[in-house]
Amino acid sequence: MPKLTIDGKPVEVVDGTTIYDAARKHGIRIPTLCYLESIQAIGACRVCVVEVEGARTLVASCVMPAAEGMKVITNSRRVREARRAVVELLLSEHNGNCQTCERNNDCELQAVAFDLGIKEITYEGGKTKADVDSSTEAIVRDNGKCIKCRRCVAVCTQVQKVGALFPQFRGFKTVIGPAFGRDLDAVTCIQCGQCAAVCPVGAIVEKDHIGRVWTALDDPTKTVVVQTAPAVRAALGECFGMPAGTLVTGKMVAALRRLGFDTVFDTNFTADLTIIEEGMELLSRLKKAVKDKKPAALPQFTSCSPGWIKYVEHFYPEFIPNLSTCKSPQQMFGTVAKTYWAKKIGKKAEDIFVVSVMPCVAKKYECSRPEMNDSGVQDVDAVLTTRELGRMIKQAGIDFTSLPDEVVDPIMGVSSGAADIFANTGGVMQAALRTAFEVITGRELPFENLYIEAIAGMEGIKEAEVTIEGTLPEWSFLEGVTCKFAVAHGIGNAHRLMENLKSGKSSYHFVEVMTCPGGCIGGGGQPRLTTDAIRKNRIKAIYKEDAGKKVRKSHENPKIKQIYGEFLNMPLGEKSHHLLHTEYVSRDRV
Amino acid sequence: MARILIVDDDQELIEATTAVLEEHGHKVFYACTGSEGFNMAKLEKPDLILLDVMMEHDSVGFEIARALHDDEATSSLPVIIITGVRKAKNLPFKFEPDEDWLPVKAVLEKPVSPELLIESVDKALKA
Repeated sequence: MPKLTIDGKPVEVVDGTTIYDAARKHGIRIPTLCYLESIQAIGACRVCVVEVEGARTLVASCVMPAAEGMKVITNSRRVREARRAVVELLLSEHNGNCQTCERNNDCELQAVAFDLGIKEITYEGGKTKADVDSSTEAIVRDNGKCIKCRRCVAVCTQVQKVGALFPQFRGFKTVIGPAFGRDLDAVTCIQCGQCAAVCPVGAIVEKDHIGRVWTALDDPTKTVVVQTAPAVRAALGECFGMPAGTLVTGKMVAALRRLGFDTVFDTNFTADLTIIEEGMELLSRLKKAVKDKKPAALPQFTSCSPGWIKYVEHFYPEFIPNLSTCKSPQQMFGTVAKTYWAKKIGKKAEDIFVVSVMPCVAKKYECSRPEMNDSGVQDVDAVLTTRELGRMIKQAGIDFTSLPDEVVDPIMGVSSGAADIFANTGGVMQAALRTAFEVITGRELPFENLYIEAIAGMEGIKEAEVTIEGTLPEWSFLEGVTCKFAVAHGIGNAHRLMENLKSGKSSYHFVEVMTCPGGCIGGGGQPRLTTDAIRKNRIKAIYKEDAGKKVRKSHENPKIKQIYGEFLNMPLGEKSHHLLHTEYVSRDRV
Repeated sequence: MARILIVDDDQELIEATTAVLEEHGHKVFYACTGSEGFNMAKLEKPDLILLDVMMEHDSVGFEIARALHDDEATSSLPVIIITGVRKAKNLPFKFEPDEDWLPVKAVLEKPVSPELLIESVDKALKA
C-alpha cells in the first residue's frame, strides 16, 4: 500500500496502481487520449505526462506505478508545456476538418486542445493523408484523422478477441488498420463498432444513415415507420447532457414524431415475438433430444446480436446449427412491418420505409444481409445509432429536454417488460426463461420479481441451472431434467465460452451472447465514452423500465396474441418460418 | 330458451354440445365450416354463436368472429370461441377476447366441461 503525494495531497493506493489511476481516484483529473479503463494503459499518446520529483524526465502517468514516498506534480509549467507540445504535434499531423467532422463538439482531441489552451499550432510539417475505408456497411475509417492512440486495437484484440486492427509501420508512417492494408470488409471484422465507440477522434465512425432517413421523411410517397431498440431509451438523454441512465422513453417518442415519422413503433414488440419463437425453438430442440432421443443442436445460442452471428460464421462455423434460426428483433420488425402492418393499412411493402434506431453499429450491416428481404424488398431500410438520432434531433432544432412524454403507437408499439431487458447482458435469457418455465410448468418463474440475479450483472460469463419439477403433462419428459444456461457479453468472453464448449469443459442447453460489453446498453452506437459506471447506470434504468410495466412476460403481451391470431397462426409455423427465421453462412477466417 | 348456432368441423363435438345445450332447453343448429357458419348466422340471426377456430384453415374462426362483428346484420350477436388451438399448435399463451381483433364474449379451451359450457352460455346470453 504505497503512500505518496499528488500535488501535495497525501494519498494511499493498493500495490500496482498507476499514478493516473491514483490521481483519478482522488479527484485529480489528468488529460489523456489513449487510456481506457481496465483495458489499455500503454502510454501511447503521452498527454498524461506528470512530474515526479527526482525523475530525470516527465513520466506517462498511465503506465507509471505509484511508489512509496513518490511526490507527483500534475500541474506545473513544465507539465502544461509538455502536454501542449504533445497535443500540438498531434494536431499538426491530424487531418481533422473539425467544422465538418462528425465528431465536432464530441471530440476528445478537440476538448483536450481546448482545455490546454492551445490557440495555434506552432509545428509545421506533413499531415497524414486522408485515406477513407468505407468498404463495410457499418463502419467508416479515415486514417487521416487517426492519432494512433491504439484504443481501437485494444478493444478489437483484447476485449472482442477479433483482431481485425493492428498498428503497422513506424513513426509518422504508422497506420492503424487491417493487416496488409486491406479494407475492413476483407478481414474478419464483425462490425460491432466497439472501435468507433472508443475512438477519441473521428477516425472510426459509423456509416451515416441520417441523409437517407431525411430523404425518406421528405418523400410524400413513403410511409416512414420507426422502431427503437430498448437500450436507446436509457442512453439517448446523454446526447443532451442528461446523466447516464436517465430514461427518456416518452421524450424520445415525442422527438421522433416531431422529426416527421408517420408511425412510432417499438422494437420491444418484436423482442416479445422473438421470445415466443426462440423459446418454442428451444423447447422443440429439448423435446427432440430428451423425449425423441434424436440429435439436436444444443446448446441453442441466441441470435439477436449481429456481431455475434458474424463472429460464429467466421470463427466457429461448426456451431452454426446451434444458432437460433430466429431473426433479430430488428429484422423481425422490418419483415412484419412490411407484411402484416402494411396489409393492415392498405399499403405495399415498397411504400413503407422502415427506420431502426439502435445502440448498435452492426445492425447497419445486418439489415443489408441478402437474407433480410422476406417482405419482398429490403426489410429494414436505414439504421440510425443512438448518436445519429441525437444528431438528427439537434439538426431539427428540437429542444429535447423540454419535450413532453408521449407514448408509442398501438399494435407494434405494445410490449412487455421482458422485451425491455433485451438491452442488458442476461436479459434475453431472463425473458426467455420467464416464458419457457411457465409453458413447461404452468407456473410463474420462481424468482422474486421475476429477476434471476445469477445471470444479471457484469461478470463476463454467468451460469445458472434449473431442475425442472412439476411439469404439465405434455412436458412431462422434462420432469427432473436439470437445464444449464450461460450468458456471455463481449466477444472475448464469448470466445472463452466457445473454447470451453469445444473442449467439453462446459455444457449447456441455452446460451445467450451479446456482442458488446454489458450488452446492447454498451453498444458501439451509444453515446461516447461508455465506462463500466455508465453501463451500470443504463442497466439500472432498463430494469426500472421492466419493473414498471403492467405486463412483464412476452407471452402475456396481448398484441403478440393478436399477431399470431390474425396473421402468423402459430410459433415455428410455416408463415413464421418464412418471415421470422433466417439462415447463416460459413465465412472465411482470413 | 335460446337459439344457438354451433360452428365446428368436429361432428362428435357438435353432437355432445348439442345434447348438453338441449338438456338445458336451448334450440341448437349447426354449420361445419366457417363460411357456412357466417352465412347461417346472417340468415338465422341466432341468440348466440359457439365458434371453433381451426376449420378450413388454422385461424378461420378468428376471421369469422371479426367478419360477424363488422357486418351490420350480425354485429350484435354474441360469440363464444371454443377451440383446441393452443394445444394443437403448442402456443405458449391462451387467447382472450380483445376489442381490437377478437370481438367475442369468451374464449374457452377444448375440452369444455358441461358446467363451464352452460355457465358461459348463460353469461353471454344475459350480457
